[in-house]
Amino acid sequence: MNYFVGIDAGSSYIKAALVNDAEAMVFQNVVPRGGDIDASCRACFDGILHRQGIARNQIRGITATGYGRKQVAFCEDVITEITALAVGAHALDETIRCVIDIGGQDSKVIAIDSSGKVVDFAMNHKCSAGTGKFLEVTSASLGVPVEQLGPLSQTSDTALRLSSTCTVFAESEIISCIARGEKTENIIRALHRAIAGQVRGLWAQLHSCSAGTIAFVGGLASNIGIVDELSDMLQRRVFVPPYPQFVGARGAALLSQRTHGNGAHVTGNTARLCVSAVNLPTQE
Amino acid sequence: MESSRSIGVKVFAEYYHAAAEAHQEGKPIAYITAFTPVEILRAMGLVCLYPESYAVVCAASGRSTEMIQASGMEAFAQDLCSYSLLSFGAERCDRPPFHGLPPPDLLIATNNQCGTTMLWFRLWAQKKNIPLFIIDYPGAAHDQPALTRYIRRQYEALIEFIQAHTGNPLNPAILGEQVERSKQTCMLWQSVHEVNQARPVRVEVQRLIDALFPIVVARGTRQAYEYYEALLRECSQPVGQDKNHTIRLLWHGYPMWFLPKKFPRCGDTQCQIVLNDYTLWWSLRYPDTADDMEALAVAYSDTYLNRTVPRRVEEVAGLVAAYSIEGVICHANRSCRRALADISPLRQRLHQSSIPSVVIEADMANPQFHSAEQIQLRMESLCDALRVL
Repeated sequence: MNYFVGIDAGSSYIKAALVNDAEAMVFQNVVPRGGDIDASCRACFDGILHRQGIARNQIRGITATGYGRKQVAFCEDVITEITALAVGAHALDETIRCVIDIGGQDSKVIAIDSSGKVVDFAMNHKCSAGTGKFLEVTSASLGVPVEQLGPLSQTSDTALRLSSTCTVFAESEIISCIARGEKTENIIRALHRAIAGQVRGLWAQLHSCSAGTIAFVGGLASNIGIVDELSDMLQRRVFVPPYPQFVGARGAALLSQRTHGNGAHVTGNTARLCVSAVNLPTQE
Repeated sequence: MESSRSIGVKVFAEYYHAAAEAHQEGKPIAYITAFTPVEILRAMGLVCLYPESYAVVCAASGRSTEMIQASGMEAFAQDLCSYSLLSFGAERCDRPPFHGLPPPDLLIATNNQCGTTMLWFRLWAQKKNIPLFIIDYPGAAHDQPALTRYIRRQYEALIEFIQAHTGNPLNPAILGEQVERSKQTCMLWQSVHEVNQARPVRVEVQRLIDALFPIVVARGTRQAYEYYEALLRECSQPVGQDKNHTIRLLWHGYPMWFLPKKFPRCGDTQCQIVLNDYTLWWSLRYPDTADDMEALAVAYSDTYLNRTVPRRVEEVAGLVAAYSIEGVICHANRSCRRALADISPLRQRLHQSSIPSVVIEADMANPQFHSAEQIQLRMESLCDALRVL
């Protein structure tokens, strides 16, 4: 059996996905990004080989994506996140026409057509306002671990409003809220709303995003509070796939398969990822 | 035949030499904005200097940050137009490029390209007690003859203003020559661009940027005409075939003057910026008329940034079709509010034609607002999107 690997070298985590000749997902792995991006990616990749008992020569292609994609010395191909996410999302569900990704350093909204091709995309302003980094810094101000933000925000009873998604300004605004005695859960909800508002601005720029399924992917898609705020603001149901943080890596792996695999580029239903494997093993 | 490069060096040297000489000999010097009707001023014996062009020289010298920070010593906010900040900063910096511009005797500003320059010139006028004349170009009008009459009346007042301060009368013969040469030069400049409508690209976009200087500062002169005549001859030479099928991109808006190649590196060898519409902004449209004042009023009223947004959008959409453009990079230049206005409607228009576009937020001359990695990501994402998956 031949395999293909996609590596998403993100600003916070390195994600890797393994697909086989039939474009089926086999395994995925994630490690924190260290100072040496290439070494972190190699560790993530080696983890897949080790856990699956696969020899290196069975890997026919490696494609890197993500902010550190050019630092991955052992890959054959490099692709931007926009393309990787479009391919990954389309393989999950062919009705998806809009992909929202909030990463560590940027947010993206991507419009795709019925074949998974990117039609248009919009990205955040050049600072990290309203991204994962924003949430990371502001959650530290509140003393709440990032993974608890979503559930806590669900207990909110008042809709507060933050006037800025600038990390620095929001942090001082949060301190003022704390000083006023505002409840933590209400402040968290306001943070989520600020992020969702930023994404809505990007979404509104893309006229082709008005129909079809909206998929929310990336690490922040695991935060139920942001999902709720996004659904509310877009007035649409927002679909979060299983393992949303791996969609880019899956897309990169699929592109590798299509470039280096046997036979012609497979399209349509046969190109869909095996998302039925909900209990897909993931090594942390 | 003399090469364009050789003539171009002379134009550059002549511009700064004439400025220094005028200062030494006490000839009247005017600071003017990019689309001032310079033909009238030359026909009245003025030596004309362009602070905006000098700001570009400052940015290209690699000292933008130092000069912009120096402008902060005069308490200017650092998010003002970077051309104005560079201009003010250069006055406070040690060893500015070409020893700085010599001081002006007159200031002449227009609002057909930019609103900031009027305020910038007004500040100089107040600070240095220099006479200032502002020409108002209202832009789109339902009654074109009335608009032309309005601008002509201002030209007549301009002539009186200059004569009152210098004693120099208008020489109609020189004015006629200047207007005719400006018209011919702009047509040559347009033709130089149009060679790129064919595949493969014959003249790189960086070369067009390098070739911009004469049409900005020497429009109407014999040297500028000869420069573009030589450039067109050189660019019309046959080239090989486009075997790699280059993906053709348009850069919408200002270049980034502080970058060595004036545009960010894309990192995708298959994609190439084949046109920057900014350089075409100097291809002014002088009408066929024997009335020089009317020709100037029409040409300078119809500058790109003085048109309505729908007209601008259609203009760029026309370029996309004529130059077989496959993707557009829109530079959201923080310094130019007027240029920002057409980006969103342009993207909508391009979307209707299935032309993908991307917005890059940066600045024309201030590297402090430049994030190379993020710009490259956006450009490469566009290139990826243009490929068939």
